[in-house]
Amino acid sequence: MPAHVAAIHATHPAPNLLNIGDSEYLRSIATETLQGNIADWFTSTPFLTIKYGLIDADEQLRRLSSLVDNWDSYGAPAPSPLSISKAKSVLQTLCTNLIRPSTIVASASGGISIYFLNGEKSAYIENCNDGEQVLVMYDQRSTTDVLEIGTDIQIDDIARHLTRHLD
Amino acid sequence: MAWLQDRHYKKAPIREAIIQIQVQPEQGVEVAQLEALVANPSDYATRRPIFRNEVVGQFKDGKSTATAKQDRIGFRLIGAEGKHIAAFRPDGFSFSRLNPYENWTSLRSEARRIWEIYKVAIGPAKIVRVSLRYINQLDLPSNLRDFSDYIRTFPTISSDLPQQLSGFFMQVQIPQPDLQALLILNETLLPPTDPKVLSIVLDTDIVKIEDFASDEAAWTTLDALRIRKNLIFEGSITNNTRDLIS
Repeated sequence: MPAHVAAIHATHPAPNLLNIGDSEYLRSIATETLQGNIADWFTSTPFLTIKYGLIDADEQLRRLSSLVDNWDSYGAPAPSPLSISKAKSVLQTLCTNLIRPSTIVASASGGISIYFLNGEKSAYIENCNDGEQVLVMYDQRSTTDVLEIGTDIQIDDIARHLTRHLD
Repeated sequence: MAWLQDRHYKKAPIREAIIQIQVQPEQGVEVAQLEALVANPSDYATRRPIFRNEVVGQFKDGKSTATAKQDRIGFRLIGAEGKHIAAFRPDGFSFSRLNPYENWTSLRSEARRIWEIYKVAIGPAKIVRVSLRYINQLDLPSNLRDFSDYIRTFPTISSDLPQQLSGFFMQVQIPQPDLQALLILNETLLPPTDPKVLSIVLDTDIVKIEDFASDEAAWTTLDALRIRKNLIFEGSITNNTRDLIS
């Protein structure tokens, strides 16, 4: 049996449903309907934002790691294990800063691109197959900023640069 | 049951503890005003905006369209190397303590200190809702025979169906009439990261809606919710789980 599959056995008596019609208190709490929807719940607190941000990112990186050369039929190289691990460490740093990417895709030039979109402002982190990492920030009016991670900025500074640009 | 109220575990599964206070200010305050009025408290160097995202999809005349909107609804102050996160919004305040959780006294005292800063910025306001939320991650052995060996509230499946799960999300709302409060209990299975571990989120949120006569009344209520939270947690686990986290 896979690790995440567990057998459970139904031994519970059914719970009672309370009638909310005749109590002021119960009427007041009835306004607390299901706590948002499930999607909201996943991002309703910092812990859940980080946890599910990392789970989503891991899942996407796992999918991208299975791409093979020429995955786009235009000769794009498959993302290298190094680019995947570099992307993972950037995502971990960003998630702990409560920043979630808009999308994570394979790059046509090889590697992993992590995109952040906010209206007219955009940024992406290119994790190249040879391990090089670049932060690119641009919008529709100004010039583009390109910062090499590890040289121009350190990994811990990415969150600050991204927030300042995207705000 | 007093021993249950203050039980401390060596490997406490608390991943986040949150105090939330919702207010109705006498005069409306805009997010930008609030931002301008609040200086970062000492030890809270980082400030991040809070956005509400809205995506509306439409299918009309054979064409699908989607519009996305993003509103800035407040901001977060992050301190203690990311372990303390205070959220300031025009309609309320929250304070989170992330793993490792220390204790109620230090959570309450830091939350109260930051609350006083929020209160000055928001101006005269009535507290209309308080809640105390604890998010626990229980790491159970993946070869467990039965969930009931470890947790006492979980989804039941008809015995006519296969008794295997690959995931679940459950929310129950349980009135707490003596406190005039409501327990919102969320439980979900986390995707596996270690084949030997089955992680379950046990999220207890106790909410009290009331026009509080004073700040003090709201904080005293939070003290009462905290005692109830402990009883709920202890009532949700078994001795097997106690052994795992002790």
